[in-house]
Amino acid sequence: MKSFEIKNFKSIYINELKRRKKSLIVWCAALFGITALYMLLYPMVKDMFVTQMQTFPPELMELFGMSDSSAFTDYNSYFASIAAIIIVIISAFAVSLGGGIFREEETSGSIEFTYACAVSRTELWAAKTTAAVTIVTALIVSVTLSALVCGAISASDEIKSGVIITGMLLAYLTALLFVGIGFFAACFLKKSVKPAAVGLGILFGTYLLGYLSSIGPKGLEFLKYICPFSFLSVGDFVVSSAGIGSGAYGAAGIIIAVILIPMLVFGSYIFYKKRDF
Amino acid sequence: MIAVSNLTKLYGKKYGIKDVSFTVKKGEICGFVGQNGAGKSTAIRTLMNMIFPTDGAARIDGLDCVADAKLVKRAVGYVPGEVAYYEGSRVSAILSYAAEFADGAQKEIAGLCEYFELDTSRRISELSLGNRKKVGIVQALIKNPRLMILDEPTNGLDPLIQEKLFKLLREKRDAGMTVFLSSHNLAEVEKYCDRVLIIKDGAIVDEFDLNERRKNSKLKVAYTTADGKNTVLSYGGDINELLKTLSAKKITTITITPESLEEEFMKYYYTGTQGAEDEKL
Repeated sequence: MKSFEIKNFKSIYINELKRRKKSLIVWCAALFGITALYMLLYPMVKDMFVTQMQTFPPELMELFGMSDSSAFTDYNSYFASIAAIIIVIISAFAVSLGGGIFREEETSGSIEFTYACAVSRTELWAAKTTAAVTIVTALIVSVTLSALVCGAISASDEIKSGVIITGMLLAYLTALLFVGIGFFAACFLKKSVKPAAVGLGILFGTYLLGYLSSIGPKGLEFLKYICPFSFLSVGDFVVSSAGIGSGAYGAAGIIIAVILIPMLVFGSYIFYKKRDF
Repeated sequence: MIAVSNLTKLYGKKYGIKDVSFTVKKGEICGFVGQNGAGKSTAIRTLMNMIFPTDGAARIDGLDCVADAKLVKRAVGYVPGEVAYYEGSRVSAILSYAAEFADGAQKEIAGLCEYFELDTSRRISELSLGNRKKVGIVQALIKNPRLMILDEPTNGLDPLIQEKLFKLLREKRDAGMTVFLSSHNLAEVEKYCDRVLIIKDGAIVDEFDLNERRKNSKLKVAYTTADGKNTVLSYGGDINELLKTLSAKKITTITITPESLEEEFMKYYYTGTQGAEDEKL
């Protein structure tokens, strides 16, 4: 018998999604709604936004992932400022989901039912990780769609769909990085340690380090490469694509993410295969 | 059917089980008895690959419980000690989901649910401990396993359903299925099992062929003599010899009953000394 059968993978995958159906719908609707609410307000708050931004101290701007306030004068830039906050929310959800999708069955004891079925650990792992990635993808798509639809309604002359979609791809990489941290923490850490707590600690810790890198002395700039919100900053990308700011968006962040995500995901597989439930 | 050799599981520095070796033959109902924490669930969970052994090996029907875990689980129906499912799901959804992993299991659901009087329309969160256990039993049986492993199967079940469960297990046993069950209900083990393994402090300390014992059952003789001395003894010889010996003593009270294996098991539940003092007649 093969250790991986598509039929089993499909059954577990669908079951994981079914169990999270309500939460997924609520999250997608909420993120779509929040994004829409902000983006539909854009024509009304545009002038006020620019004025307000110029009065903000640079340190406060950095806290929200925006390094150059002069760039935030159009719909795309306005979206980037909102996206900076939404990405933190999605990442917090992603790291909790990544940890929870493996751990909740161990904590509740339902793993004794699931794993008593004729399934392999590879099938379980693959279905659970794929389900979590599907959910994170759905959240990112909701925000992207909301931004594009609202842009078409409220600022059709300013919207650059390509910039928004590429910016959200960076946000997607950030969310995948955090879902990967959740997977790894759940499979690597002992049962007594909650992966979501560790993941959220990493998220807020790195966020603060990223902030420190932007407001601190030059010597601390390297900390940017520890914080996914900084090295995959949607704000910085929008600024650079508008030709304003410090120049072309660095690919270093993307390279870090592309290396780290598979390492975390496959690292979780190695530990899951050996884990005592 | 089950062959366990030198199976050891360490939790940190503490042994869950230590050098456990035993076999369970095809077509028998084998009980697994021991105190809480003796290592019953650890041994069972190792067989099911829920946990990995630190040392030793376990095989089911010739298959290695670690390397061939998926194949093993195709052959085994498992009822865990604490039955837990996705709380919001309905019983019907849980059973259908379990049936997706075993050929022909779907058609078994209705009959087994009817047999165990299980309402499939209810949500797991609404079920009592006993009804959850029934779901666990049905879920394990629907795949027509060659081996049933049950961890405390009757915990929470009412006596009628307990009776029905063992009736069904015996029928399945007669049809070739092997049953391996852990239990604290010693009367149930004595009544239904063909053999029993005793585990204490993580090691197998004794085993009984219950069919053999039933054939050669002993008497438990308890009496008090005129000087106030209480004596309890186990007797397996000629009853007339027993009466002749007893008549020579000045006995004030006496009870003679068939010896229960339950009492014999009980001594393994005590730590240190045995619970009853045996005396040679």
